[in-house]
Amino acid sequence: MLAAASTVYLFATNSQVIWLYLVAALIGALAVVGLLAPALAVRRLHPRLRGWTRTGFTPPLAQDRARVFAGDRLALALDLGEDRPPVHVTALRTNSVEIPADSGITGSTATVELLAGGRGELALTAMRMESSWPLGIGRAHRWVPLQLAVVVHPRYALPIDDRRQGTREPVGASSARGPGDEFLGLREYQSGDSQRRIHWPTSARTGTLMVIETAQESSNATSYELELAADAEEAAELAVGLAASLAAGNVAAGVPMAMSIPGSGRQVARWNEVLTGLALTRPGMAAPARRGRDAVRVSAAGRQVTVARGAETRVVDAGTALVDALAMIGDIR
Amino acid sequence: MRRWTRGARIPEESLRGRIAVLAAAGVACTAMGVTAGGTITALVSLAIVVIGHRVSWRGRLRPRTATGQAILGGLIALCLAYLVSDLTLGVFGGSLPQAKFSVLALAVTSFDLKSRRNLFTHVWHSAVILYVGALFAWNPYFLPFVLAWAACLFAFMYFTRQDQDGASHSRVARWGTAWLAIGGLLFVGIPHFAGRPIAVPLLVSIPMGDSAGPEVLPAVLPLVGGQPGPFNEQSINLRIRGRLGDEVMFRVRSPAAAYWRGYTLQAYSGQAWSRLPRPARSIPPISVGLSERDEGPLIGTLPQSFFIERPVASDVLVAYPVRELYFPARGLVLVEGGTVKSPVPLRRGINYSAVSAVRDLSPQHLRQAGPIDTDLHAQDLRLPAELPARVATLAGNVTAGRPTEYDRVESITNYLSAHYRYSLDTPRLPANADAVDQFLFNDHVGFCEQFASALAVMLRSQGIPSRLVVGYSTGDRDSFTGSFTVRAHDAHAWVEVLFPGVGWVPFDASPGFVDLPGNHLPAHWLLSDLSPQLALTSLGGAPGGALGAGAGLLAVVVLAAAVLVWRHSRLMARSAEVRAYLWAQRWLLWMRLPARTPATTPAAHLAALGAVAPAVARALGPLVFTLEQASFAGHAMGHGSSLPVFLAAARHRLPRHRLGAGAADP
Repeated sequence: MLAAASTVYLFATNSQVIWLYLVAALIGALAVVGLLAPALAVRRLHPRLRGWTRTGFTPPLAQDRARVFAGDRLALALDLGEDRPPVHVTALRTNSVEIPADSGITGSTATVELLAGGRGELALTAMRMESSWPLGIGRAHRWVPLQLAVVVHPRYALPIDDRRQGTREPVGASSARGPGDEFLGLREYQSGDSQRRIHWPTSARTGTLMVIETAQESSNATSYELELAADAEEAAELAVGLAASLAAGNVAAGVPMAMSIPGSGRQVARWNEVLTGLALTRPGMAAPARRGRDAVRVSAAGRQVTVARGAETRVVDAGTALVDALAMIGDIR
Repeated sequence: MRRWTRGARIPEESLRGRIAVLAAAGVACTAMGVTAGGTITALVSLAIVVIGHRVSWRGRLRPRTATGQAILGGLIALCLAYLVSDLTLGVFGGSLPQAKFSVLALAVTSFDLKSRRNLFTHVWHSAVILYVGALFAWNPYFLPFVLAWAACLFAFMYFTRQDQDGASHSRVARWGTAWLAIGGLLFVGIPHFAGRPIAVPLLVSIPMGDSAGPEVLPAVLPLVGGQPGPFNEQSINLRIRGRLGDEVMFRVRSPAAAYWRGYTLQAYSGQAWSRLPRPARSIPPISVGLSERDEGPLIGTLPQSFFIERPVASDVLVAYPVRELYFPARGLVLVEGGTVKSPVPLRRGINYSAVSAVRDLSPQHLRQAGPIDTDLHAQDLRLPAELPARVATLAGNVTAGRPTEYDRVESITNYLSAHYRYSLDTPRLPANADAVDQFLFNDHVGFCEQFASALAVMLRSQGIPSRLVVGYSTGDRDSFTGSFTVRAHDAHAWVEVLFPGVGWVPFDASPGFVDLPGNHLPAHWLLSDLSPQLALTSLGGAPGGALGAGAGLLAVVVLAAAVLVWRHSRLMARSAEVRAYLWAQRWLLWMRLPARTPATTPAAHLAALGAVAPAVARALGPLVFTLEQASFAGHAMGHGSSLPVFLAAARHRLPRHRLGAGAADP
């Protein structure tokens, strides 16, 4: 636009036509407005986060539907106000990097979509709001503070036999598991469950009636040990997925389990803690002390994941799909 | 992600934006029709433009066909043929062929406006037409046209964004007001420099041949005493003087006032002035570097553009001394003395431009002029033998004690303007009386010719070479447009006096006129010196013009190629996933399926597409997933080559022959 104004100005100068000066001035003013308006639009912006939703991975265990998993798509709802300036959110700043985002605007609400990325803690600290309104000549942006922290959990799958069981017979039949001390997790309501065991907050959030599942603490609980070597960057994700899947199998079957996870400092037995611990563990973290010889040991080093129980050992390559890896270690668990 | 999809081939969906473009075209055509003429052409073209816009809107999603492009190209070629033939040969009358070509081309191109870029080009095309109209706009009535066109440009740019981003009306009103205010301030604040007329080819209207037509036109000046005649035989009879009307003879765009000079008269007979044969040389239509001998260095230039309103004779009116001339005719002759002769009379509609020298005519500089070579300028000192001696005596008395030539000239000029009265009602000159003697000693009243004659004769009697000059005074200046309107009653006569080392310097003894009618120095700027190199065409004259045009064309081509390469490199710099997604979007457009708009995320677009064509949406899904992985997670997840898969799947599920309105999914 500035080039156009300059061209018209040049012709005005060389042809003595006063109108061309006026045209050049008005085009130049368009450039000024086109640069100024976006800058002011983003400067006066005070968006408010109204909430967020997730889509993507469907966890096998119903109680995990409210969790965020690796690769999920998050949608943030921002309230921009009634007389909203025309802006778009084009990037988000996390605790470590900046990630691109895309936004659509309906009325005074902007929906910002982003991918959750890999497992871990996703802390959104700021969002980049851009505007080129009203003329699209200039583009201005501003980083607006944002406070949102979610734990991105690893994806998991149920072992084949547990899936079959879950298909034929509802997970966690109430008759098989009585009231106990240890919290195993949440599951869908089944006929015969006591209404006192319904966990209303989760039920309200997920839209499905969920009940608290507990089990007697047992000395013969399955013990899992996860080890992630410092050089296990490539194999760590598969190892974590395998560990999560093995533990989920126990939860689905109502069998008590405990898992030592690097970085968690102790063995954890509750599914919620297991999944969170697996979300936050990283290669090179120190694992808690081992408990027994019968423990199923999942260790990652280099590009290989080794699953061992006693003398039995299976080695899986890091590039193997999770479902295939579960099938390969099926008889060892 | 908005930046990915607003490419050159994406159809513009904003109907309001298209209407704004159409309105801009309408404003420009109307403005040109009102000011420059060619109303019928403008109105017909405008009607075609309306139809073209409607066709473009309805077919915006349809792919371009080779046949359609060939037809459009052929029509543009026809328009070009009209331009060239009318510009050079005047086949269709030669009246503003450039303007008519612009509106015709606008009409043709209006049938192929698909993308925003097409529309943007259309707006600038209308700006060219507005420019042509502005060239002929001499009063503030053109202001609404300019504001309306600019408002259309604003509306186009705004609507095409508003339909994507949305905003409240009050916010738009605020910025619209700010735009007008800033534009006004810029208009007042930006310097209005004077440069050389690089736009000459656009100004040239009626090309003229090498020979004069049969029509008989009045002399360059409507002075009753003017005697039209063959070359070198024109004269002015001082015995008679008629009434001059108020009709506009011509208009001049010039950054400074000047006397618009016609020709000079050297021989004084006592009752008339006449021309003397002078050496002459032919000059091309575009002539630069014109200069006369014995002239000092110039201190600036004065560009002028003339617009003839009424027929005048073949003397090219221009401020003296001319240095560059851009004239729409061959066969020009530059006569020694600075007069430029056209081979044919100047008709209404003729435009031409000139650049004249601005010399240092300060008294200090003129006082330093060298001695006069009386032998060399004998004919400019010649006086009739019958001239009464008291004329020379009076001149001697007036100049007594004046040491320099300039002081003597100034003293006589001041004496005449102070002691004699200006009036068009002068007594009739007796049959045998000398006109100057009668004016000086009997009548004491006269008009410009008497004053100029008296000044010239008195100077010659003192040994100072001088000659009579006829032309027009500055005329009425429009303070807003900065142009001069010259009427018939502005016809004027004055004197040029030779100052060795400086040249011929104009002096005007008529009361009420400027003391020193020399050229004034306008505002000057750097690019003024570069603009002669930008001459767009040569009408058969200066070889430098063709060279400059070729260089300019080459520069434009190189620039355009650089822009294309830059844009292509930007596209290629994007990731393979992005490019694949863009290609998929283009495919959707070709299939008349909804493409993603800037305000829609790829996921949202996928969902919307699923409602229209679920099978295609399913095929596009992996591509969107790949795109998001590549964009958000920084890596692809096994779908790096999704485009061929998508195209194959989509084509299989959506045969082209089944694509109709709405493109329902099978």
